[in-house]
Amino acid sequence: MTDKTFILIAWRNVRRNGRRSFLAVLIASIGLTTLIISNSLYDGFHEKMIENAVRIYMGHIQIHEKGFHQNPTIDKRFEPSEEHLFNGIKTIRASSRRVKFQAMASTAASSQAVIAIGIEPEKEKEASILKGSVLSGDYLGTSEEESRDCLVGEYLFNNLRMEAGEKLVLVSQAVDGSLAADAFRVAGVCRTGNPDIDRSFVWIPLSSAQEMLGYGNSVSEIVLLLNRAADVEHTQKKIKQRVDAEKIEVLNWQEIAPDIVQLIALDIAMQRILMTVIAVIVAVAIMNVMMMSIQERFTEFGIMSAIGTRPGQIVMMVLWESFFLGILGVAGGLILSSAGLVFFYLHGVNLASFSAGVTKFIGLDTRVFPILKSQQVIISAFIVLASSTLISLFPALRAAHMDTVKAIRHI
Amino acid sequence: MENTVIRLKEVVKIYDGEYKVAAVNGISMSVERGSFSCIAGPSGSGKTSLLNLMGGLDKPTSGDVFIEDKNIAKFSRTKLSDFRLKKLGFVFQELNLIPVLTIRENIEFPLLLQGWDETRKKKAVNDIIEELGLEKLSERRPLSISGGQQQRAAVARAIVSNPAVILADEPTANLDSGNARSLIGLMNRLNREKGITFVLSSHDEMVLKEAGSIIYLRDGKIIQGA
Ligand SMILES: Nc1ncnc2c1ncn2[C@@H]1O[C@H](COP(=O)(O)OP(=O)(O)OP(=O)(O)O)[C@@H](O)[C@H]1O
Ligand SMILES: [Mg+2]
Repeated sequence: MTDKTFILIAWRNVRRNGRRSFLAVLIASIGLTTLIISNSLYDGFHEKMIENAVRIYMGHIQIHEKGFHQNPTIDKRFEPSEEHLFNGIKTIRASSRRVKFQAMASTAASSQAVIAIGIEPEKEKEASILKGSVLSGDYLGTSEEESRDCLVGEYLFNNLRMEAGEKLVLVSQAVDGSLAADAFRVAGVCRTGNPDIDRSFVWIPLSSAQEMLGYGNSVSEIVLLLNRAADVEHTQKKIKQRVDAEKIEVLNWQEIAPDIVQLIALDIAMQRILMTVIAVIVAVAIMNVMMMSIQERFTEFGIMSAIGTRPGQIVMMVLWESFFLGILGVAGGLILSSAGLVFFYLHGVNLASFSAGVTKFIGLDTRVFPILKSQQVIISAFIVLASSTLISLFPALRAAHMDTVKAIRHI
Repeated sequence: MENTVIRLKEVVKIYDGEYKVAAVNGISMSVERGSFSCIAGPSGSGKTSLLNLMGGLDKPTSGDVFIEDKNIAKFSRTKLSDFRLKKLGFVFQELNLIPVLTIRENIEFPLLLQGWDETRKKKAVNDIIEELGLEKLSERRPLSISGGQQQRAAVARAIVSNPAVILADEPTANLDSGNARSLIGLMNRLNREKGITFVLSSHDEMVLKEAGSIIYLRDGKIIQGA
């Protein structure tokens, strides 16, 4: 009952100082908006980075002979039964087999060490963005006469001073130790956006690679693309149960590219710092307003105390007041950030205008769109509310423990 | 003893500022139930200090203050707060009321703090409002009514919970003579009709004329009365 009165007084005091309250609310709103938008853009950036890495080449899950990921040599190969491995696993969107080996690529003009990838053109189309990244020329086909076609990364194409349709000779070692060489016609040039790939990759049909290396039906890796990133863990587990762990490794993207995981962890740490800074700014702003508000109500508190209001009740009243400011700040922040999010959903943020090398991480479309996670919003709102209310303990205690006699003598 | 509401015994209050000031310098006195007393004296004579000690707002440097035979000099802060709430009513010079509450809510405030139930509270507040003729002002905020009206509302708040004594430090100091006269008239009537005990301080002749007994102070000492 009494509490209701103090809450009422607190609320009316918020309204009494309209301009000052508005300022505090505005700062809290902007703080919350900054948190929500930066969090959702970070999340969007991270998702895109993962998506890009996964879609360019890596896939969500890779299966190799044990040790291949650490040390990819041509003797590490396996002959998978896809039926046995993937049967009944519904989370798999696409799978593609590959042979991966180092080779020397030579043209009439020049030669260079490259990474040759034997792919199944039709399946690779589903599992990665390779087909979409063909800049000029054609993607690999499946017919007999196309079996000696190859795709070349854009930079490699330029470095070797090639021309479209020109022949490229790949030289490598076969499994039996003999020298293997084969000539391929450059059917297309690819731009994936990842400079490492564009500088050194040559794609050829899987069967040609197998033939060259004397692989028979064996491959270096199977790449899996799943429906959702969230499916990775349990899908990996299921597949692991179906293979001999002594011979076959089943790796997820985080194991394949720990640098991405670290980059994201670093961003999250930066974001925490930003959160702290914003919490402090909001807290200081609200505390300032409360301090001013209390300063000029010195007599009022003195009289309340004189007629029997307990110090604890005065503390509660002041805390409620700052809580209201915080709540209004959260409400304002939600409205502001909705507007901001709509803008960013529509336009995205073009990271290329901030950093040139960004394609390496997020691909050729350098726009990042926000991803809103309710959990993030709740945490951010809680931080703003908690920091504004808790900091007001100082002014609240000051008001509660003032010298009543002095406060009244103020009159 | 039954009839003594406040009793002071050898009370001394020394302020330890730049100079040591004995604002109250060994005062013994008592206030009888149903009396209407006034503390008079020149500025700086210790009127406010004395009233603050009587009301448990301040603690004496030495000596004892009894209210209804309880020695409040020994009370803790919270206990004093509760004691003031239940036993004492205060009227100050001005700015008595909580600005964001209406007159009705201000009068109701002590009852809320005491946790009175809704019906009893409503009746008490309505009775007081009617008795003091505040009906037209009851829904207004303090800053939108005159100083004299504010002081009447402050008296209403002070008496609403029926405390043992009302302490009023220069309640008319900021009022013109007409408003001052009517406020003192009101207090006098409440004293006569309802037996409410008042202790006022003032240096206004008109106020002093209305008082039942006058205590003259000078330099923290009683020079006449009590
Ligand atoms: N907090 C304080 N610190 C130091 N000295 C004080 C303090 N409060 C009052 N005094 C001094 O105590 C003495 C009595 O002051 P008090 O306010 O009680 O007088 P008063 O009779 O109420 O005066 P007035 O008529 O001006 O209100 C004065 O000399 C005053 O300066
Ligand atoms: Mg005084």
